[in-house]
Amino acid sequence: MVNMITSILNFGRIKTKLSPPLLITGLMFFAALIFLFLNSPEFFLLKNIVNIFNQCAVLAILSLGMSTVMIGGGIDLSLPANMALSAIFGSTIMILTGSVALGCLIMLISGVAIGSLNGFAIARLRMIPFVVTLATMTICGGISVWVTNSVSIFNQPEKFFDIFLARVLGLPLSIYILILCLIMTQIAMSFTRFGWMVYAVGTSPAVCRVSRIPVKQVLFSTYVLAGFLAGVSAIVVTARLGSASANIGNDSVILDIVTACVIGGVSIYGGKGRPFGACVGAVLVVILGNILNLLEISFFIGLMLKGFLIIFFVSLDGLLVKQNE
Amino acid sequence: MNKNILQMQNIKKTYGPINALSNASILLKKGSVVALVGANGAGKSTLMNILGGITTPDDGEVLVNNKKVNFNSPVDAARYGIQFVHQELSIFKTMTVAENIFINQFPTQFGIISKQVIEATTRQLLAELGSNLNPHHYVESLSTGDCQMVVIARAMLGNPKILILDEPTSSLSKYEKEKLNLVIGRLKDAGVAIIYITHFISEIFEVCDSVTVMRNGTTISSQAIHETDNSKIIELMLGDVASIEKKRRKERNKNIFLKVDKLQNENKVKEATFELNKGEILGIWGLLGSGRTELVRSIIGLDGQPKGTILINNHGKLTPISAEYLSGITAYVSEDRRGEGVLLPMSVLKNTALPNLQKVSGNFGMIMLNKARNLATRVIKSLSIKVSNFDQKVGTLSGGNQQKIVFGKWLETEPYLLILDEPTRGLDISAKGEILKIATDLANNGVSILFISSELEELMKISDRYLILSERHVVAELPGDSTQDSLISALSKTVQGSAA
Repeated sequence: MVNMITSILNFGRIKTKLSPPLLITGLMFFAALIFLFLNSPEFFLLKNIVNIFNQCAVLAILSLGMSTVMIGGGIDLSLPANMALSAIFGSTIMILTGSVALGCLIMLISGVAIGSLNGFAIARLRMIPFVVTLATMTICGGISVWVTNSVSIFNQPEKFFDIFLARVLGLPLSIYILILCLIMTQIAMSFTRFGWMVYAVGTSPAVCRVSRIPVKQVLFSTYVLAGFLAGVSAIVVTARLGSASANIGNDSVILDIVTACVIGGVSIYGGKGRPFGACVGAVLVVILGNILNLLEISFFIGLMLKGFLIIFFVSLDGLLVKQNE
Repeated sequence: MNKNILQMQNIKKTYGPINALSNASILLKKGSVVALVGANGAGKSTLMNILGGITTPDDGEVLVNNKKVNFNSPVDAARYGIQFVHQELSIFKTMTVAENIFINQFPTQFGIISKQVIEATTRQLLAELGSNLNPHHYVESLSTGDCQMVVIARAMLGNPKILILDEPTSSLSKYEKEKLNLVIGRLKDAGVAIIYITHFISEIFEVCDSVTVMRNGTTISSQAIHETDNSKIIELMLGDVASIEKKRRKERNKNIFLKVDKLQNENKVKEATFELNKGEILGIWGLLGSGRTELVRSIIGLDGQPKGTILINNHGKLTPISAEYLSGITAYVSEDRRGEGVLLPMSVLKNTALPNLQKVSGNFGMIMLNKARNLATRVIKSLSIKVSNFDQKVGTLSGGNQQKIVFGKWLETEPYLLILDEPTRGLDISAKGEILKIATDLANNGVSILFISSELEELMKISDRYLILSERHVVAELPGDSTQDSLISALSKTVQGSAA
């Protein structure tokens, strides 16, 4: 069975030059589109497609951040909580001062600060990423509920929504922001010194140490970059929902991010995958959610399905690692 | 006492093209201790893995109590009373002494472990070994010596007739070694035969009855301990080196490049002092465990912060520098090629670019792909590496070509100092020759080289001078025209010295 799967995958790989997880994701994507075409042709209306991309912008930006951390061999569970807290901080400042620019800046700074905290604990103090970011997630979540009393923060200046809900050439600004983030992250990972170092560190920190790569700085930077993207997503999510609350960073978001990354071909063992893949994964996760809605399948079954997807892709990943050895 | 308990005869074993054992034999009498010695790669481990049932031989006989046996697994071997105490102690730190001893055979009643039984048996076993460890103590609080006692007690639980001790003293203190010797004495008295593998020749004379020497997969000598001595054993281990043709021209101007003064790094390196000239190949000669690797890693700061002074020739003036600074102008070819040398799942292009990222990137840290490609092509060409293209994954290359990638990526950094730690390990003859050729060419171009090798032949081929290491100290320095005998006796002298 396992052999059969790998041989089919290898065949596909030779023909398409895609990594096996991406190949499977591509097939799933295709199947989902066919299903939608047969069951609800209105899905393919331009308006709806734009809407889908609008929906997935936040998830995709967070997944981009997660992909850089995962390629470096780590994981950042605190991204959604970071986003929520940054959105709350920024919104509060924005409402207090009336300055949209300052509010947005605060969101970005807060995202970077929380990311730096993670990076410091993991790279400098050599703590385990899973534990550190789980703790940061809880701390950020706690602060979010505490400062807001679980109440959403409304009444951001109108100007904020005017800017970020504006449409350019018929497309919402959030899509442009996503595309910009995607291009920047992809370039950073594929074409810069930093990106090459991240892949190398994710593959083998020992080789990097001997080869004079500043392993600690590289690891630190991946968490800072992820934090920055969490700040960007805070702006996008606040604009889209019209409010900021502790709930925008709820637990199911982190599940979606991890799902997006693993089905997008980012290896949880580090050193493999592309931000672009994570982005495709995020789109697929959102489409999957839409299909489940369409079929009136419960949200909780959706959660189950995502859980299974993660297990399937991670086991595929493990299989490939073994095969390579 | 004179009964043969184990005979292994004409054992052969090949792994692919490599002959691990070609004609290995060992004889063990009841209640005796046999030392098994040999240089790196002599085949000791393979022979013992066969005895321990971990691998099977291609040819040859194993006789236990004069009966032919075939072991297919460690469990088979244990059934014949053979127990293996590995060098890396398999210890469960969060469990107690008693639990560690019984880890692979907890006595149970209806699936419930009986604590009284395991504690009582543990006390008894430890008493037999002359140890007063408390069975309740957690192993994480014990010293290495006590951990070893626990592992030996675990082996004793299998009621062994033959006990294999692999490098039992490599991390023990002097006092712990003496304690271990007492335990070995007790086991001997109880009729247990012991195979004692070690790199520390002086220890053999303290506990062993006879010594078996292996070289290149063959047993070349088995003698009673009183018929031999230090230097004879070392000579047998290292073998005759066929007339060595020096690969390097002799006269060279002495222009000091690096001076290391009283370098100390915890217990890894002790007060090391030496000098290295420009364009010189300094051979570092010592047995395994003498601190060769630790010395070279310490001077470039790979194992924590060393104490002492490192000086470098700065326009004719010796200037103190930090280990980090030295690391910045040094190429380090690690002995662990797969773990520290190459990124196996990544391409030749990315591997060669790794220490040269600064060089192949332009504004804003952007990688200039054409520069990276040129670099990879240059490396492939200059070292004639066999690859189909620079996108090929390094993991798919042969060992020799992988090692050339390591050399190539470092050469592009234009290092002043090259550290070679067992650079030819696991390579075939022609690849070995090529690697040595690259090293001499570099030295001729003015690169200073520290060269570690367990193979005396290749060390003598290219070294201009030798540094003798023993027990973490630099103990002597020999000129490049030293004979094989003088090198060997330098080692055995130091071994004797430390035994005294």
